[in-house]
Amino acid sequence: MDRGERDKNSGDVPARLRTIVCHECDLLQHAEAVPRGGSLHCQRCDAALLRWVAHGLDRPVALALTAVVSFLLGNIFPVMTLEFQAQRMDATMLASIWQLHAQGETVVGLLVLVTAVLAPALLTGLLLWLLLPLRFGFRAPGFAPLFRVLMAVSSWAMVEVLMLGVVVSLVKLGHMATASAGIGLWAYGATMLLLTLLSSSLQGDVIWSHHERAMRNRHAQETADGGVAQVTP
Amino acid sequence: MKHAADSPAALAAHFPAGSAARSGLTGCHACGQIVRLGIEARAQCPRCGSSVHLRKPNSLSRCWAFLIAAMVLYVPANVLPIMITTSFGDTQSNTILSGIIVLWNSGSWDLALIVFIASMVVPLGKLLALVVLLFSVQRHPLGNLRQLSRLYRLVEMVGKWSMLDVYVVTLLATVVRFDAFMSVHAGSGALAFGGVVVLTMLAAQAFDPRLLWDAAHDDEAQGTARLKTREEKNNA
Repeated sequence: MDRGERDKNSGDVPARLRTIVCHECDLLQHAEAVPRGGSLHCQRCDAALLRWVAHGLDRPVALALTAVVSFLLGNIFPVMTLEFQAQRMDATMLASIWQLHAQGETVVGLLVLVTAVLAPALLTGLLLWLLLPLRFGFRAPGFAPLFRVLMAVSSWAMVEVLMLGVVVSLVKLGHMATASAGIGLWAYGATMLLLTLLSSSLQGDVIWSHHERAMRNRHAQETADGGVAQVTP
Repeated sequence: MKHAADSPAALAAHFPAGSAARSGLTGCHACGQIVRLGIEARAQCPRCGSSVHLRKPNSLSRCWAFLIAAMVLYVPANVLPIMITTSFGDTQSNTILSGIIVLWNSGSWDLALIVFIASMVVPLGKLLALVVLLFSVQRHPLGNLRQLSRLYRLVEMVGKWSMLDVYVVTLLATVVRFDAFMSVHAGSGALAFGGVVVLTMLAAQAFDPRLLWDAAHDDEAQGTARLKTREEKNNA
């Protein structure tokens, strides 16, 4: 399918002004339709207000599904391995957290558990939970409460910081032993990239515009099927 | 808040012209939906169910509380060792700063610089920036409001990078476990340091950047949001 045809199918938001509130400076302002690839910024404080969102859910759903799988792999396989005089030590994330607990640093372990495992797990899992059913025209159970959970955990997921942490650890160990990156590291890296690609889908207003579009489409479908009303484009 | 009992009109008059609060409106922090608050100080977003307020409740005192707690913890975070290395019976304790120096001396100046920024510059900068923001709301703005807004966004963005050292200690303590020869243990500095990261993040979340603009009664503020096209963003 060529680009022109796809544009026609997805159809841009009709050009109408709507009122929005800047979440950072509270200025009431008018928003025009956001063109492809563009974004709207507050005219007073320059905060990002709205960004262009592709209509289809295929891409975000596919990315979220891949992110869930790569995140699982990242937690099954070790993120790094150390070999020293014929001994071999693997570090999976959960084993590392358990090790902190064993050393008496349970609170630090919990902090790592939340930021490197639980928050990213919720981020990828909930995104898939919310978007996948919308793709097929229905609303996931617990949509609104789970949406709020997603928004609450989003700032606590620190996958990219963990990646840098593994790199620093590898360099620190390089001087005394053979340290190598594990499969888990690559899987975590993939999760990081996927979350970056999904970052526009992790904006609250984007999820709800997908939701409204899906509900509207289903409604249009139902009325058309029932033969009650003629749907005019 | 002292004006909570006032009539809606009196309540609105506390806010500058052009602001949503002046019209009794607020944007939902989670989904962006515009919500009309009557005389209520809080309501539920009709779309996503989040509780919405004209301004974050007790923003300044909550921000100060987290910030002061973070400042207190900052001392043990830097004084106590975060990592204890034992090799061939010889024990060595490293604080955050001495860990950076070791990294520097071992020849990895580039990584030492990254860790220095993540573990020293970012936490200190955050503490300082939050003081500047709070002072700007409570006394007078230190710099123009656009710059202060940008500072707030920066604080929110860089905060989590300070977790770097906590992750490094976690991983090293897991892989370096060769009892007779070498082992690494997390020190109590790691707990304090992790506490600083969490508390400064909570402080930043508690701060309401709209308070910066509430003091500025610029009546000309209204109009249409500025559009940035993809080309413009690529050039920036």
